[in-house]
Amino acid sequence: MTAATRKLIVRIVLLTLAIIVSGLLIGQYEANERNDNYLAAILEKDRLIRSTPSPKIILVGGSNLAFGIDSKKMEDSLGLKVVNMGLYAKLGLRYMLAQVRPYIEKGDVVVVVPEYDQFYGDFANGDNTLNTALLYAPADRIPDFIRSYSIVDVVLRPRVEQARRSFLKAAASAVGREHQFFPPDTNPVYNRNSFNQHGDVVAHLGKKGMDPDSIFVKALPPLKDFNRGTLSDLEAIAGDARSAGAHSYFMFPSYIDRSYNINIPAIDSLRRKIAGGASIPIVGTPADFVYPKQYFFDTRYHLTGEGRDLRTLKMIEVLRAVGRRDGWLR
Amino acid sequence: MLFNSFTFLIFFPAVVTMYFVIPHRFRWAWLLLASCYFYMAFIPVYLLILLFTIAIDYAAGILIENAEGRRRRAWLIMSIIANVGVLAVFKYFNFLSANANAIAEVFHWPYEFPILGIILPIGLSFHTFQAMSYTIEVYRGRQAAERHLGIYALYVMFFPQLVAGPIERPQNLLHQFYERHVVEYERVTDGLRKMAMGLFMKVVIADRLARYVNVVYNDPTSFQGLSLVVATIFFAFQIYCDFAGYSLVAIGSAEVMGFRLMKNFDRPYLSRSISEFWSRWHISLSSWFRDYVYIPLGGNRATTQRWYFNLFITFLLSGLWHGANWTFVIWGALNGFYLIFSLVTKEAREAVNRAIGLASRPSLHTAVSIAITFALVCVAWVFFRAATLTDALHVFSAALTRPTLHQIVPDAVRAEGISKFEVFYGFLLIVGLMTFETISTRVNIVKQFRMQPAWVRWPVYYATCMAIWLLGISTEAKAFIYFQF
Repeated sequence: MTAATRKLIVRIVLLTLAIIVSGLLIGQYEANERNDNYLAAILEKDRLIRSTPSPKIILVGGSNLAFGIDSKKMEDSLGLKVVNMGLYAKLGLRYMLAQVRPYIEKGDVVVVVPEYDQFYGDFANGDNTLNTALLYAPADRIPDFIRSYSIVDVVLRPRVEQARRSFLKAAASAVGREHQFFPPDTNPVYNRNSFNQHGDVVAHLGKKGMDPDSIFVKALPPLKDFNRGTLSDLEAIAGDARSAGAHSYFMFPSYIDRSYNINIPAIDSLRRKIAGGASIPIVGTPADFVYPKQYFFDTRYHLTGEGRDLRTLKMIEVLRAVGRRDGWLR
Repeated sequence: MLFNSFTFLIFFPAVVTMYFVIPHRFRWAWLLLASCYFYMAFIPVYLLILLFTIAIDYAAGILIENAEGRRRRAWLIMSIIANVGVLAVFKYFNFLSANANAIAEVFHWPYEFPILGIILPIGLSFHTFQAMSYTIEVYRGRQAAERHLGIYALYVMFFPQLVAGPIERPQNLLHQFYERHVVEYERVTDGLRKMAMGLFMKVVIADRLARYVNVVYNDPTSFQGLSLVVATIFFAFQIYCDFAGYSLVAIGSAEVMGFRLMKNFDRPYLSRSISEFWSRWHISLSSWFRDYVYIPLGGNRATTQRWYFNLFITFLLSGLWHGANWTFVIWGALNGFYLIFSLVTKEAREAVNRAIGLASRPSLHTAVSIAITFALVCVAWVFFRAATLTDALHVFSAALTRPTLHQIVPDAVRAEGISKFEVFYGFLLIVGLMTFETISTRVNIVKQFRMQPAWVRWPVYYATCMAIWLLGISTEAKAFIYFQF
């Protein structure tokens, strides 16, 4: 090895070390600041699914479930414990499924209720919030997530992202704009403490939501953007449920009528894709869970208290019918 | 495997270290193995398609060299049919079927052509074109047929440029696999510098601009006026930083190992005319079409009409190369039209420039020419980015509505978490990039930088790496736009 090569290697190693150490130091900036973050509710949800005895109903999805289910009412009507794992759509369907897969036991009923957006592009793989969620994951859950992702995704990427976020937060703070770009976790609805013991968000009940006409609606992406990987994920959870002696079902999310009306063909195509591509039974129809604007709190998926009641009753009706058909409910 | 992924962060140093550690005679095998692994990170079974075309073209090269007269031509045609056939099946079959079905429906013909449920193999158009350039060059007698199957396979599969170019010529690349490379301080740092610059362009600039562009172009009918204008300008820079960034990483990573790949971009948005733009944008593809389509058609050594026809056909094919969609065909045709129009009106434009005094003010003339060329390129980009012709036409009609400042960050953009600051930051990055490129036309920044002492250079490397990490966008590595072609 020549002297120049040695010099080059030493400099590259030093540069790499400097980058890693800087990243670790920067990552400390907000390491202890996220206790009340809405996503920190992952810890309670995790405890809930571990501690709830079977047979139980496990609701898997994003915030359409968190805001739109009265688990207590469902529990009383169906006579099974209900665990509402719904939290945030942008964590991605893969994460949501990975979170529950190891805890499906004999007699359980897994109801997967993803938002429509999950099925397009990379949405189901989660956005940046997934990294925060993975940072919250208890140490003994890391192997579960590595099975669904990879060690790089679960261990390295979240830390790299944490450093990035910390840096931007420190920079915003330095120019006095931290609260503008990184609002504190004081939002009374989007907060770790907004959930009840079943995992339902209850902080929005009785509160005035957004002007219903201002709720943002949009066309779903074209079918060419359909992510076939989501079918494999659904197939995997259906397979897990079968092997555990549990039941699994796919159900459509609550959706505002304005958004539904502009997406009817897209949703129908989606329904056919899921029905043809995964063995998880679809129960109910998309239209079953479409409600007028006055039942929505702040997004096209988030129901108000009244909307939540209607949706819960409809879900109970649908689940009761399939439960009797499939023999898990008398 | 993506250059901006964590996997590549581990893969590349491992490949390079091993490459320099093992004896020279095994290096081709190591690079081939690494290239197979690199390609199989996408859809492993598609490696078979690649191996199929490699086998065909390897054999064709030898057969062409050994044959004489019409048989040489026959072997060349066989090789081209095999390559174009693979492209036709995987890339164009569904497009042709859909159009045939549409025609059948109009005329009430009882035919229905099937639509294949297949995914386009990544980088197919790139390695197919590189393979074709080999057999054509052997046919033309400018390249000896490669007898070593492994080396030939490596020529097609060399991982830095396998999935998005630069589309290399055999004369430039093949012989390099026989060269004995050693670790050279200057060359390795040059390569790493290019990789860092490329990654900066991709993750800091392109991916940030993409956020705004995707929101608007995924549903353009929900936007009006300045939203569409800003999204189009952002897309112009997104695609440039995305693709030029990829090319830089490709060139840099090859350089670290001692290989020289051709330059693919040369400050295209400083072009003063459309023809200049095409000599600076995706140079390896432009020169491919020039050498293997435009010149064989007769180039400019023909009647004026025929010359224009040759230009138009070349750009039409270039459009089709980019994608099986009418939007790409129109994009190509529009660029062909621009070129022909600029040739037809050359004298008239010069007369106007003289009349308004622009010809006597070269700096202003240059600035105006650059601005007009950029505007024309942006108009063409609308077709390139829009998902359908209807979307593209909406962009043109709605972009002309009365502009308001609110249109720059409309509610639908805000709803996706994009703030005013983010849009401003996007513009700031564009201005920074263009300033850097403008200065670099007068000063050789890289050369000046290389002359600085280590205590200046290495902190800059550190700052660049940290900027890529901390200012870059996205958690999941986002695929490069040109992978789809």
